[in-house]
Order: sequence, then structure tokens, then C-alpha cells
Amino acid sequence: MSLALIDCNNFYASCEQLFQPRLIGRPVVVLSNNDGCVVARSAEAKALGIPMAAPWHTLTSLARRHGIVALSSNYALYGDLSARVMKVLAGFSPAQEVYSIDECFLDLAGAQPSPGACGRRIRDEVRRLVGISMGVGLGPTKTLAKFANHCAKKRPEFAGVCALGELSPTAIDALLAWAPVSEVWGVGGRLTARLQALGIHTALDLKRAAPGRIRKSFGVTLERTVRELNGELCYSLAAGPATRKQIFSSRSFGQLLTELAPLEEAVTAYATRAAEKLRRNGLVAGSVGVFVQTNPFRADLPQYQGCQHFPLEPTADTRLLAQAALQGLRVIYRPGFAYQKAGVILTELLPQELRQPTLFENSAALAGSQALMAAMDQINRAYGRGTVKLGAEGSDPRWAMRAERRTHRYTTNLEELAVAKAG
Amino acid sequence: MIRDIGVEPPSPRLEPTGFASPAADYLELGISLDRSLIDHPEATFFFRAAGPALAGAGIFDGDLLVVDRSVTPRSGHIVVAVADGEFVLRELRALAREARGEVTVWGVVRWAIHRLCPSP
Repeated sequence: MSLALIDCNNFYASCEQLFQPRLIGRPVVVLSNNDGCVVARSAEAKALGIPMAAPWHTLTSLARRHGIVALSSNYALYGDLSARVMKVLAGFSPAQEVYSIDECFLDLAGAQPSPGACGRRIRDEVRRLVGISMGVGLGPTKTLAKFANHCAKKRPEFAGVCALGELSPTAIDALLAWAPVSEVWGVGGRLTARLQALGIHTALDLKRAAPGRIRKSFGVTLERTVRELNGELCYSLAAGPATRKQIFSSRSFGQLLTELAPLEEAVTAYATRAAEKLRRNGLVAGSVGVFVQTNPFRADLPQYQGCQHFPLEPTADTRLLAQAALQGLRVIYRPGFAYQKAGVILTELLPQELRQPTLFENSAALAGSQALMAAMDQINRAYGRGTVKLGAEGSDPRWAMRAERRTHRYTTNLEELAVAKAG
Repeated sequence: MIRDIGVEPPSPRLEPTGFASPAADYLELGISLDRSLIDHPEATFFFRAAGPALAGAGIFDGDLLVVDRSVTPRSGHIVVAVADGEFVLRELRALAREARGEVTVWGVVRWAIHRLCPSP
């Protein structure tokens, strides 16, 4: 078994630099929705010590001193470049698991002349074809591939590709001893402190821990991590330590909203996004939650937050989910408040195929619903998000988010192409 | 179940029962400019040309450029390159002659699409 974990370097910042070459070599940060916090940094911004999630308004003096460029998130651009990267990668293996917008696992067992050589070719090809640099980690399990990827990025001697199969067992253990245990896949901040209390500080310490003891103290998930560190395959492609428990779609509004009508449009749009995510993951939801809140930093305004969950027959139909969300919204809406944020949460998720048919179910209506949703998704994929949507979403949203520093949608909009000057 | 005893279920759709179209055997996919102009979709990007300097090579101000990063640049190719942090459009040999600081080729221009009649 030889699994590769491939991860784009500073993906959002790299996408921006690809189409704005003047940003190459400069500290660049990408801000979250509504230009709030730092969600991505170029290597130069990382070197300045700018932490992830730092609120942008706390960085303005640092930014002036170092000429930091701050950009709004340009998800149309990142999404398109991500799809290109994933398509190139898919050409190298029949088994691919896209793990996030900038990460994927590939099964490279049997790659010629060797998995490591294939990893190096992959890196060169993606850079040549799409213009994005990446790190490649190869190992016998997902956890070790993740770990190798960390080494590929942090240790210059690997030049971006670390294949554990090309190293001696001693060399691998030396790498594991170099990495703090918090770098191991699935070991979060909370677990790290508890592991350290038991004397487990490095990835190597965790590898050498007794699986039974780990299982007793931490549960089966971390036991599997220990087994995976020892080369025993516990997670096949499309399986990992965390499965999706909820799907969340929420934004702050561009301006405070007081009336019900624009809130209804916003909640319909969020329910639509969440339902798309749900279907993309092959899931159905058995409960829809909706929440609204005022701006807690506006002490001069009356404060309110409301949340309501509605159970429903498990479904992935945008119409039913949006309807339930709107029902909830009407329950929690109070006039006389200035709302800053709303969101939709889908819970009770289960795979589409595990859904129990109900006694009074109309199977023709269900098939019709699935066909309609599939058609909607297909049209929106082909012609751009929002081409087909529910009428309740409205068309000129006052609630749309602020994105004042967004660069052009260079790859998805003919009116926003990059310009090349002749002469 | 019905198939097990060798009976086809009746089709609920209406099927034409007259003469089959003589063209049916010759059906082909329609012409698609995407398929014709783009050999490597993952590596192909669109740019907009600016300036009159390459009119001699058939590229005019405002033309739509189909740029393919998978093509190895060769003498005679028109390329999009990065010079001084900006995108420039050059014939590859001219790019080599300019030699001002670091210049990198971004992609090779495969097609220039020139609009003759604006949308009505």
C-alpha cells in the first residue's frame, strides 16, 4: 500500500499570486467573509508571524510597516483552481479522495517506476499545468502519508516530496521523534495536553505507546492512529477519524437588517448552500436549525439571539430544507432588533442510501425530488452558482457580504480576465 | 421480476412508430468551440490582450486569448509572460531580447479570438 497526501502550499495566497504576479514574494493575507479575519497567508506573511484567524483591524499598523496586502476571499477563483488541481491529480491514480479544497489522498500503489518518483512527477506536473505548488507525502497509511506531507513541507531536504518508503526505519523514527505529537493527524489541542501528561510528547512517543492503553484512556479513534503510525492500515480512502456531524452555512450581513423579508432571503440562500453541500456529500438531513443574532459589539443597540431546530423526514431537497428553515426563522424573528448574522445548520445527517423509507412515503414524489435536485446541481455547476435557485432567495440581496478587496474572478468570468499587454 | 419470465415491462413513454429518420445513423456531437480550441482544459486559461503592438501577428487590442500552460514555448510562439510583476504579451524571441530583470513565461497563446460584430 502506498498512499499519497497531496496538499497545496498556501493555497489561497498562491491562487492570488498566480494571477497577480506583483504579489509574488510579498506578504499576502486573505480575509474571511466580510473581511473580518485572516484565513490564509503567503509564506512571507507567515514569516512575519501573522497568526491564522487574527482580526484584520488589529493588524493595520503591522500591515503598513511591512506592506502587507490584504485581499477578500475569492472563492470563485480558488474553487476553479482547486478543481483543475484535483483533475490533474486524478490522472495519476484511479483512487482519489478529495479531502478539502486544497488536499487530496491518492492511492499510488504500483506506481512506476516507484511511488516516490511518481510523487515528484505529480508535483512538477501540477506546477507546470496549473501553476500551483504543493507538498507530497507518501506512506503506507493515511496517518503516515499526512505525517510525510508535514515533513515534505517543513524539511527542505525533501524538496516538497517525502516518500517514507525511500527511507530506512531508523530515519523514519528520527522524523517521528522530531515532530511534536500535535502534528499527528487527528491529535488536536485538547488531546495534546492529555498525552503530554502521560509523557507522550513526540509522534514517535505516540507510535510506541501501547494501543490497548491508548484505547482505554482515549478511545478507539486514537488507538487507530497509533496502529496507523505503526503502518497498520485502519482507514481506507474516503474514511478518516472524523465524519461529518453537521453542515453549517452562515454569514454576517453586509449591513444590519431589521425587517423579516431580507432575513428570509438570506436564510433561503444559506439553506440552499447547505443543501448543496449535503448532496455533494451524498447525505440527507433529519433536522434543520436556524439562528439569528444581533451585533454583540453594538452596546448601543438592543441585543437578541434566537435559535430553532425543526426535525423533518430525512431529505436533501433544497425546497423542504429551506421551508423548514423559514418556518424556524418566523418563530424566532422579533421586530425591533438590528440583525447582524443568520445561519442554517443541518444535523441528524445520514448517508442517502441508509435513509429509512417511511410508511406514508410517496416514492414517485421522492424520485421526482431527487431528479429535480440533481438537475439544479448540474445546471449550477455548469453555468455558475445561483443560476437556478428558489424564488424566495431574491435577486438583489442587501444582505450580501462585504468583499471590498476581492480580486477578479480571472477563471470564471469573461468580464474579469487578466490583461496581458502587448508592447 | 417481470424480466425473469422474459416479458418486457410496457414502456410508459410515447415512442414514435413511423419511419426512422435516415439521419439517425449519422448523428454526431455538435461543433463545440470549447472542444476544438482547448486541448488541455486543466491547463488552459483565458486572457484579454491590450495594446496594438502585436497587430502584425494578428492580435488586436481587446482580443480574447486562449493560453495553454501545457505547451512548451518555442521560438515563434506568442507567450504570456511575467515581467516586473506584470503580464506581458510577446513573441518568445522578443522576450529573450528584452532581458530586463527576471522574466518568466506563464503560458503559450494558442488562439486569439477577435470580435468583428458587437452584440446587438
